[in-house]
Amino acid sequence: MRSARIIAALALALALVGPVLAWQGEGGTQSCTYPILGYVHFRYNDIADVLPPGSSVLYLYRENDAQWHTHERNGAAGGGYWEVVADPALDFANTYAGCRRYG
Amino acid sequence: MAAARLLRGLRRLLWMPIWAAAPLLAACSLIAAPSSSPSPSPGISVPAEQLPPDIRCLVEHGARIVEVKPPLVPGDPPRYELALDLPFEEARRISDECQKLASPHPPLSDAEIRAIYERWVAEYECLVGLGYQPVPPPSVEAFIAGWRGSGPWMPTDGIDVGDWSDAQYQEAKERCGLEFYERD
Repeated sequence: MRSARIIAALALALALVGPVLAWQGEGGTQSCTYPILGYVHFRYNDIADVLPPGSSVLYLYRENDAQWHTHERNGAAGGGYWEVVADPALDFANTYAGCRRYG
Repeated sequence: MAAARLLRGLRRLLWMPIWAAAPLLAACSLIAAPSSSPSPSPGISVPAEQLPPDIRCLVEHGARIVEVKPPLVPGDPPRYELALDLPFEEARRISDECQKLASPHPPLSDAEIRAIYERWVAEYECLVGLGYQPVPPPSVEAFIAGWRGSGPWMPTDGIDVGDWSDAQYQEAKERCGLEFYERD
């Protein structure tokens, strides 16, 4: 269902608009062994929206300084789905999810 | 595992056009913005008139301010961290729409990037002093090219900072600064 929505949005985008915003994104699923936390490590320029592994809350980083930043944010115990989108740039090589013990 | 990797690759290919379409999609659908006051949410309270338009828009749509940080460069506006407890697609739609109200920061000049390079080289040397073995800094020209490309060298490159305990993180932050790296 989600894939169908993505494909529909892609088709609409290609048909109607060119690149307007430079959002770049990456995501996936990071499973951890409960109670170990999932976390996401991300490197971005300027602003980013982050859904940590297994979280229902979207975190919005508004640096608005045209600089590169590296952040980490813990998600839920057991991990889960995660996404990071950034504008204007996301460093894909340095954006990933993992598992770690709290503390 | 392979399927997950394939899916991840496909998602990368799909992202750019999807977000390129975001303004149009948002313009067509965000009309459903809340018409009444958002319900109160815990977080840092900042008078609305003190917030920049994009942050104010996010708060009006239910985002709570988690943290207000000082700028890294004097004269820049404060940095904000917010949380939006809504389904992902809806939260992203709101984020896109509010971002249109932001005043974009101009790209940094070569001189500004060089100044960052010099600070980060000092942070690298500090990490070496703590016993870490990060990737040595590139030339300043390569650093500037990386800055304007897919991402620059950083002093923690080559260190698995994700494996740091909180105590290691705190020590590195207190001793070396690491202005670019934060844990929440």
